[in-house]
Amino acid sequence: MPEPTLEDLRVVLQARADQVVPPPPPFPLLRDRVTVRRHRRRVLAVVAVAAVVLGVLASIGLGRTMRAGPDLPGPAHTGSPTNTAFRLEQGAPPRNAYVVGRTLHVGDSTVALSGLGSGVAQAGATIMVLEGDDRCVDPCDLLRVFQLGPDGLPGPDLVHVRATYLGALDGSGRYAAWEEQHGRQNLLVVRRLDGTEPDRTAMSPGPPWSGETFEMSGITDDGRLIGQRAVGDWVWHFAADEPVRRLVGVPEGMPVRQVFGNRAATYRGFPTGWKVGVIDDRGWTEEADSAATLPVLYDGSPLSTEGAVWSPDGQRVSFVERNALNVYSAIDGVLRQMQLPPGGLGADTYFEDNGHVLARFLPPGEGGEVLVRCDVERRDCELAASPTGPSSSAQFVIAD
Amino acid sequence: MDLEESFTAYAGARWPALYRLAVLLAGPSDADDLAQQALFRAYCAWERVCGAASPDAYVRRILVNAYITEGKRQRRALDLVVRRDLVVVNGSLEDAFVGRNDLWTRIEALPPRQRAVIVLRYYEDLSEAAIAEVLGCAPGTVKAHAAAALKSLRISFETADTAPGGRDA
Repeated sequence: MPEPTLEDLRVVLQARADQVVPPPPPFPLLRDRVTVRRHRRRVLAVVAVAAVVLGVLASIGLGRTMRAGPDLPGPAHTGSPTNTAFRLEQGAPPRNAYVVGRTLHVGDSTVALSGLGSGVAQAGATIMVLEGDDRCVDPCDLLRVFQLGPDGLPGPDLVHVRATYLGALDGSGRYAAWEEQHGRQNLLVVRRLDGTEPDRTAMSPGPPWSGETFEMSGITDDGRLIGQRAVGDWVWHFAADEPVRRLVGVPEGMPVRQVFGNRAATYRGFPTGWKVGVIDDRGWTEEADSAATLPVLYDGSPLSTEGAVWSPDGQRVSFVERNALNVYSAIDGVLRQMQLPPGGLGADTYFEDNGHVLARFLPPGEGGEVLVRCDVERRDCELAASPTGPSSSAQFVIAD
Repeated sequence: MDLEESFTAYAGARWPALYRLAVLLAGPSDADDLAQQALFRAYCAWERVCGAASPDAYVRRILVNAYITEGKRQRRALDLVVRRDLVVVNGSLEDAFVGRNDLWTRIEALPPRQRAVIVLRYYEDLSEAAIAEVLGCAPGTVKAHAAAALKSLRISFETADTAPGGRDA
């Protein structure tokens, strides 16, 4: 078959657009959303005033002494698999943090959120979560960072700000970074979570406007923030006792997808693979390029790296393709494959601390997504989590 | 004309084009949400939007970035599904059914940013500089994405032709 020409592209896109019959403009819906948004703000204002009044009453002793409520329910356990087509044994819940609806799960612990969780990041017991509200456009989603105690209960919020996007944590959980909107400006903030240093800030690049994308790729162990706006990459140096400065160095067109240790992984995308390197004052120093060793899959097609995820130590890459969980070792160049139960739709993968791989997976049937844990060395998989009850159709939002 | 009226007039006139662009980017099932979200965001920032040099460019930028940002996780899953289905399609359809329809399926399988560049370049007829403005990146980056997308499309056709069970088999 002949290769497509640019004219073919134009014709196909125009023909596709011509097939579309747009519905009427959604003005009633838009008005509803605006009304809800205004109402929500009014309610928040009333609640805030009421809280202040109650506080004042309590402080002057007019109110009754507030008793602690009944004992909080114990930590919820992930339920048994509800999907009969999915017959894996139930294993331990994952230590990786994940959100289903308004509940954050970390191991056996659960934390109720005030809104739908739309993003989560994790560094050990330090958790960052974005509690989203799709009725809200201004940065009114709540970005929180807290640490889970040994009892599984969350400590006080170390970060509690309004934000539009999820920020980033460094691997050790010492630093958190996020973007705040101040009027027409976007401000990057990096906070040392033990409170021993004042916040470091820098103006975010690019024109500030609604809908602009900013992605925090991560924070290196030595405290450098790596972020990107759209497909351009910027790196900020946030080292202690030094002025914040922007570094240049990530190869253009190669967005940083992950940061581990002091290294960053970029992906050139299908079909050319990834690079791993160090970003510092000298710019980008390449350490590894997969182009020479990229595994060739199945029918001879090269690996698509679009959904690939690196292990925290930067030694392995995992991805799901064609119903198989694949883990590629960058050390020995071996691709290990584990067939997932048939009929489901494979999606994202995540590494656990012990080297096992979690795959977010939609089994066949009417149930919701599940998390499958696979030991690719032993070629053994088990069920790690499956939401039940009213949230059974919900999707996991899980920390990378 | 106050802000409310000017927004209503703008949205009434531009909604069909916005909706079509949303379909090309996100597909028919997600287009409604995407277009509505873009319009809602434009409404919330309407004072800035209508004060911009080109409100169309502003709203287009909101829509494209909402597409790239907010559906990434879902699209990643869909991407895998589409690619898997392609194998079946390639092995079972006759030559008469492939061609331009097949090309659209392959465009849908592109990563979000590459797909956005292709749609903006070959449907909206935007220059590389204008696409760079929309995506907030350098024109060279747009060029790289376009080249990668075209290469992917080309390779997917070659793979379909040579794979066992493909059309040449």
